[in-house]
Amino acid sequence: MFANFRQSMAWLHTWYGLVLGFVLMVVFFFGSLSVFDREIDRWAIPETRFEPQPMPSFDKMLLPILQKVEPHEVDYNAQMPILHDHNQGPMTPRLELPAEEYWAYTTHRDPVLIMGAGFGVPKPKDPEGHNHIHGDVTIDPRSGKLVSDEALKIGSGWFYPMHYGLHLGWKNLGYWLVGLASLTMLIALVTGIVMHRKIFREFFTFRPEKKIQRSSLDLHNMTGVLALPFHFFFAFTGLVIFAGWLYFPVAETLLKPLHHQHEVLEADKTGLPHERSGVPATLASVDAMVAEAKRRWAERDMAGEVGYLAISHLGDQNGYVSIYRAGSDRVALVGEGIHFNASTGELIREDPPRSTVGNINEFLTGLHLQHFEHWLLRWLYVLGGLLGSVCIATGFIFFVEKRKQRYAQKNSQFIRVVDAVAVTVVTGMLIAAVGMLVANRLLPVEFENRDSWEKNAFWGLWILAFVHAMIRSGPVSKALMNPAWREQSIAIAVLAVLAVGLNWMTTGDHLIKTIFTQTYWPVAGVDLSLLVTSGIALWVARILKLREQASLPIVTLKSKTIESGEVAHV
Amino acid sequence: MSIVSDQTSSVSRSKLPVAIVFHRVALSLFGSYAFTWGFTAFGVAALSALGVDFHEAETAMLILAFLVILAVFLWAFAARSLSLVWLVLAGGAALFCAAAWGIQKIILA
Amino acid sequence: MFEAMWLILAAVLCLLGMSWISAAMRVHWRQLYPACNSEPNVNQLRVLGAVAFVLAGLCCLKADHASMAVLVWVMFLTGSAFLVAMVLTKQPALLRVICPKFLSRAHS
Repeated sequence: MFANFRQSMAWLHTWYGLVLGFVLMVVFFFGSLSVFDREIDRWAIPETRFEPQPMPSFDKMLLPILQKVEPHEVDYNAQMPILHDHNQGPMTPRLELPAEEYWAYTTHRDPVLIMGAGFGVPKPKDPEGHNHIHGDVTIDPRSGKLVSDEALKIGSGWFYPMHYGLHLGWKNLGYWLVGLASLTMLIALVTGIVMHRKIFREFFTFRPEKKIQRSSLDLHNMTGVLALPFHFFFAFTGLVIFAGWLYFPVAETLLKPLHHQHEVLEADKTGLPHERSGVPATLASVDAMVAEAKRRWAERDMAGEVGYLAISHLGDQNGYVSIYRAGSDRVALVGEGIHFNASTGELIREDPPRSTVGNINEFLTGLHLQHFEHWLLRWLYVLGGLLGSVCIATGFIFFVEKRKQRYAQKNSQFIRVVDAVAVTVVTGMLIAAVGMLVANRLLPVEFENRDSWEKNAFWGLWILAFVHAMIRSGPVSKALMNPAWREQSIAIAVLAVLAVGLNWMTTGDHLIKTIFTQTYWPVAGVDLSLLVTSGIALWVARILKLREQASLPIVTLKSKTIESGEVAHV
Repeated sequence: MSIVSDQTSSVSRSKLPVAIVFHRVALSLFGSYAFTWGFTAFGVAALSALGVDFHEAETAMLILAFLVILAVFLWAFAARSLSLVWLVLAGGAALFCAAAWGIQKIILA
Repeated sequence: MFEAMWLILAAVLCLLGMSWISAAMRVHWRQLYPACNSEPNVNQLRVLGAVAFVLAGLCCLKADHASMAVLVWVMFLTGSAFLVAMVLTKQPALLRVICPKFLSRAHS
């Protein structure tokens, strides 16, 4: 299809990069925000602005709340008709489903605690399958009070799922798109290296004074090459995280019989029952088990807090309690599981140290999911994510700059649309994200369906940004710059300052208070980041104004030749 | 939309037939996915047969899978002959899946 | 507190190392010293840079568990490379402090 290898790699880089680059941009940007998802949650839900708490008493506080958790209506309506065997009679009503498992999860950054229950399906179609309807709650662990379901966790509940699933739930389409985009990132890195002949010679090169086409390419190369390890490992580990569940579920399909045999053998070996026995049993003190688990960790010189606690086969003689250590001091996630018999409280098993493969896997997924406590590394990740965003955005700009003269002569509108979509996923995305924070502070607390209005604001603003970019795209077809870039930058600047101001007005938490008098970094950090964003956006708007004025339509043949000569050696 | 050979300005801008581009894009994407799928299943089954713990084998193969798909995808795009790509990707996927199935049968028997 | 000190030291070492590595490139050396017609002492600068990177890595190991230290080290290298590139773009003369003239080779 192509004359040579290099050409085929260039084609891949250009066209896959363009089409999936729009998705990648979203993934990189919201990934960068997700580094501080819990902090954004605090900003968005003012009543949870307090210090992170360790896991509270299970027996006294968590158990009574868990006993009141109901199967989630949405999950019931979606899953029950699929899991239930209709030949055995009507579906068990939602509130009569038996709870079969409990869990609770917290991290060193969580003031609130999330926990939930898995409810069994009494007459399942596939008795071997994972037949559970779920229900979960968020509580204030100091008092046990529930945090309202309508208080949207904008960080961990909106930006973070956006990062890996785009909020396109249908057939997991979002996950697949993100997966394809991640593969495209890997492809773009390899093909980019093939195309870029001067990786080392231009390692530090950025020439902003040159034409946009050249300077955007400089920046594209530089941000791509400098952060190459970051880009590669994040795209790669992101794929690995979802591999077994979604992208290559060999153990759940082709090799299911082998997998099942392994599970049963494993249950024999570990003493952790695979199935329920059918004999009812009571629950012993879980707090005593937690104390014992902590003692055993300390014995291994790994004293720590509980990160994840789960009870399997609840209310059954085969029930067991698994307690996992929070992995905040290392890259691996929760681990060092210790399992107890749920009715007697006896120790069943301590998980052995992980194997080499297990360690590699934990390192790869852990470095991406970053449950560790290391604020500096978190910020360095934000830097990496933003460098990635710059790399992708400058890729779009280079694509458009390189072609807009040619398309202008052909009278084609293609490049105009590409540019407008680029505006939408670069500045438009920021407008949507910051605008959502503004909406979060503007909507009254008692407002009905407050959370869905916040989401509407997010999508609405994003669509508006696209419409605006399209309407203003006229100049691109004359080989000029779309003024929407500048106008949307100004909108970002205004919205970001507005968000900080509204936070102050509605909660009384201004920066002097959150930094100095009653230091609370999660909120101060979000506010400061918003102000910095605003400053950068204004600076960009100013530069764009100057560029717009400078690039009036004087396109002579001569300047064009110089320009094409300049970029020919890419 | 014209598809223009980019970046390498020494080569003249040639129009690629849309059908060929689609064929190549679809084949490289789905073909490399199918090939990797089969490769992963085969690897897990084969390692299990050799006595490696099932989940260990699965974890190792899934990490490897994304390096394999990257390499296979790039090869599928760069390779001259489309029929060779078809043969290797579709044939490889089928053989790997069949082998994985066979090994599983032997282990479980 | 000691951890913070080790990390700051690591960051500084990465920045120094990256400055030396960049100064070892002729085009950047000329950005630092546009007036005189000197050449960088490539080997010396590269060795200095490499040593600084290794020391930075050791500092990271002092501060954190090894698995985390390697991530911090890689990200420090990335960050310092970006910073050096920006300084070279805007104020290359600033790097003269780190890369004094005696690191040049006598012009032949």
